[in-house]
Amino acid sequence: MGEAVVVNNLRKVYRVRKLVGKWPADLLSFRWTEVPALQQVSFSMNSGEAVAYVGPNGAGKSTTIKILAGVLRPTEGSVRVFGHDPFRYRIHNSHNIGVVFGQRTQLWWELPVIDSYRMIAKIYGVPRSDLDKRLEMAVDLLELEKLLHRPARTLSLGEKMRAELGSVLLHGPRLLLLDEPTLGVDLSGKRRIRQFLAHLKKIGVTVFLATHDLGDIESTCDRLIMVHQGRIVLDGMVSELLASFGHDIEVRFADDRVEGRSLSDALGLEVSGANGRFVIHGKGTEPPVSVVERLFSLGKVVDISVKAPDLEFVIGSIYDRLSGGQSSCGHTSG
Amino acid sequence: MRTYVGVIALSFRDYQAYRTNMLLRVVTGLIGVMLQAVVWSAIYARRSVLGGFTMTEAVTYVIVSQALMRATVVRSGLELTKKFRSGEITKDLCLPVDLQAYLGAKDLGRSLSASLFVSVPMFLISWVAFRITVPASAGTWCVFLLAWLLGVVLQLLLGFLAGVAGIYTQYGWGTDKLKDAIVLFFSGAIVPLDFFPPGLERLARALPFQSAYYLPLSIYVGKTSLPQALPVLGLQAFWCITLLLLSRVAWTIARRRLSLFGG
Amino acid sequence: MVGEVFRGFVRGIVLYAHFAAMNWRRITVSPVDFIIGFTAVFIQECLGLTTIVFVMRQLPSVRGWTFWEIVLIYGFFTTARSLWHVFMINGMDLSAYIRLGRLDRFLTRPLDPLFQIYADGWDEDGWGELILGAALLFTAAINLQVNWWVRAPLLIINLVAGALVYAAIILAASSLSFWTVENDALMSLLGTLGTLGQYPLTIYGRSLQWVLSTLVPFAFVGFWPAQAFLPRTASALSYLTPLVAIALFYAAIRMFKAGLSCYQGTGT
Repeated sequence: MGEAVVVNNLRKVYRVRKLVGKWPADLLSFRWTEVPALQQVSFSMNSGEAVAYVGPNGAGKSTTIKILAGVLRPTEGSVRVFGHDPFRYRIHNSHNIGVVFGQRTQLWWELPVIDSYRMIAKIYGVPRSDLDKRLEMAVDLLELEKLLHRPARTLSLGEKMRAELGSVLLHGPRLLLLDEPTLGVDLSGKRRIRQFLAHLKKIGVTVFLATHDLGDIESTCDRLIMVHQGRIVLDGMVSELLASFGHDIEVRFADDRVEGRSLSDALGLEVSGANGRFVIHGKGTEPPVSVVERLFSLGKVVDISVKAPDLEFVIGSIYDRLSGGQSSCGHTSG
Repeated sequence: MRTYVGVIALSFRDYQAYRTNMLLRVVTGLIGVMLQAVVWSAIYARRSVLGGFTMTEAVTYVIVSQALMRATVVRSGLELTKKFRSGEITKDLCLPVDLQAYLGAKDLGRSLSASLFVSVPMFLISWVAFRITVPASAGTWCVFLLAWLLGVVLQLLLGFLAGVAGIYTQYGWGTDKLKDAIVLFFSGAIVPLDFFPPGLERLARALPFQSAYYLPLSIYVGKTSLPQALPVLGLQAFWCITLLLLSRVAWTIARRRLSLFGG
Repeated sequence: MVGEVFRGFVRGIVLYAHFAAMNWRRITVSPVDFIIGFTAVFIQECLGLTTIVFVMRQLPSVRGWTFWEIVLIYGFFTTARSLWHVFMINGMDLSAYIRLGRLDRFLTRPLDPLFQIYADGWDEDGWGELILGAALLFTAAINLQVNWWVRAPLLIINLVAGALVYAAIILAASSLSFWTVENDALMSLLGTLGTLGQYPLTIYGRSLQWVLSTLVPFAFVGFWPAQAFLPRTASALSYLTPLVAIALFYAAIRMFKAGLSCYQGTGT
């Protein structure tokens, strides 16, 4: 299993023209200001891995995708996709990658989807037999048979995205770079897209998925990288991240005189609630079973339930903390 | 009424937001003016009168026409078809405004802006550079401006009609462009109608488009004297009213189509 | 090495043919659009002709140019520009390609981005211009008794060269969008400036003649290459147009490449 992507100390800076003075003098007198989009970004991906790339708007997700696709040149640092510099060997790289840019489509607007597919296959020089095989797979997984003969402009947002996903795998890419592929897509469309991604992963395609949708991550990705203001703030396995946040345990004691404070002191954990009903906020360091055992030793328990943390909560609280919010939960690896 | 004045003011400011673009528009306009001046002085190189126009009259006509062409900015037709296509129109129809008047007000604001910041500079520079004539009497100025204003109204109505037609052809851009080409051709914007072959001249005079350029410009260069101007203004008003009624009918029908197909 | 270049060239032509087939299908999907656009551009082109046909027709000559000579130059310019209009007009829309992210898409494919921009679609509206231009050229040639059969190859070469000159001017100016985002107003300015090339160059003043032959060489779209077909006064420039066209287009491509590199490096 080789390395599909290696990014080392990547920095990307945009230059923005800053106008100085009043019109029309500002036409000539302006200053260039540098706006950093990515800084000290390093990560690598193994072949066949599916990585979620998350972060708030403007964090640098699209820039990273464009750099991996060979569209943009890094300002500093090195980038290797299957061992090659994607910018320098753009054409070589293009055969290895499939890119989806958000809600934009590469399909010919007025023509049936299948015509676009055939044209795209010609652009990449795909042999007929390979095309038929891949087309069959795309039609199968994305349920495209009803869409193939309709003009792209008549497709709904979800249908368009499914057709678009089909179009980027016709040349058999080994790495998929996806920028928000489920944005605005309805539930059944999302389900199909996720099934499709899961299947690609199974057959060994590497998936780099920039998304806001946590459902996408849970269904497809093992690993999660989080960017914030152009820097990587978190890189770890999704399961470990979840575990690190600990579980919430809801408990009811037979004796409603049990006090929250004494409970908290005894457990060494944060506790909320009163009158014998409490929620214990576990830490990732202790497995929930052991907390439950200790609870049983503290009094007669009538009812108990353990709630696993969900990704939305976890990511939400990391975002909050990054932007200086108040959330106080758990610690993160990375 | 207050709403529409607000719309006019807003689009007036909006149109001049990019001053560099305004400057480029003036330069573009002046290139057109220069071309006309050169071509027409070449035409008059060895003769003094042609088609009843002296060289000064002809050059003044075509140059002022260039300035007027930059003064009217009609985008309501394109906006209408675009709104129809995107489905935004259902939202607009819920607003407590008349859509035609609203779009017309926007165009009026743009045109006002273009007149002031593109056409007037063009006119002044041409006046100095190409020595075009200027009406001597205040009366001629007033009647000319009135005739021109009626021409602008006519163009707004035509723009809206083209927009409604664009809903049916489903090719808003092409329909609008076709309208532009027809208006410019038959309005005498490039060549005074007097130079047209007799058959085409008769046709152009029977059509409403001459209101946009030929009629106001003949007042400007003095081909239509003040007493003759009254029936001209009447004719212009007649066409405006006719097109207004036509556009209301067309719009009502188009709206019925909208409610049938749901946008 | 030579073999590779040749193979690349052949592949380019084959791919262009496929793109062309797509574009053709796109036109036939919406015939109404085609008819409307065709008519609109046809009438619009007739507009520019009115001065010539309605006014100059009555005159024996204008600054030494006879009516049919003027029509030939006008027709040549119109035909050359229409070739650009139909096949190469996308070069004008670079700012839209950047803004809508289509350029990014082209850069993810194993093809040259400029090739893809030009192959991306024809403007069928330009056919109206092409037919008008060809008709003018043809009628003028008959009236001037140009011997077409001998000169047909030169005619085609010069027309393509004229189109290429027009494309080069537009592409060079359009490449400025890599540095400034909007330049629609500049494009409209160039379009108007281009119309100066429709008339015999000598009706303009000396300085303007120079500007139109060097700085913004619209004179090489119509006037100079068309002279090769006039019964008199063919200058060397008439036969040099293909070389001028290649040089200018090469320069425009360099400019596009420089802009693209800036876009890929620092954004806009």
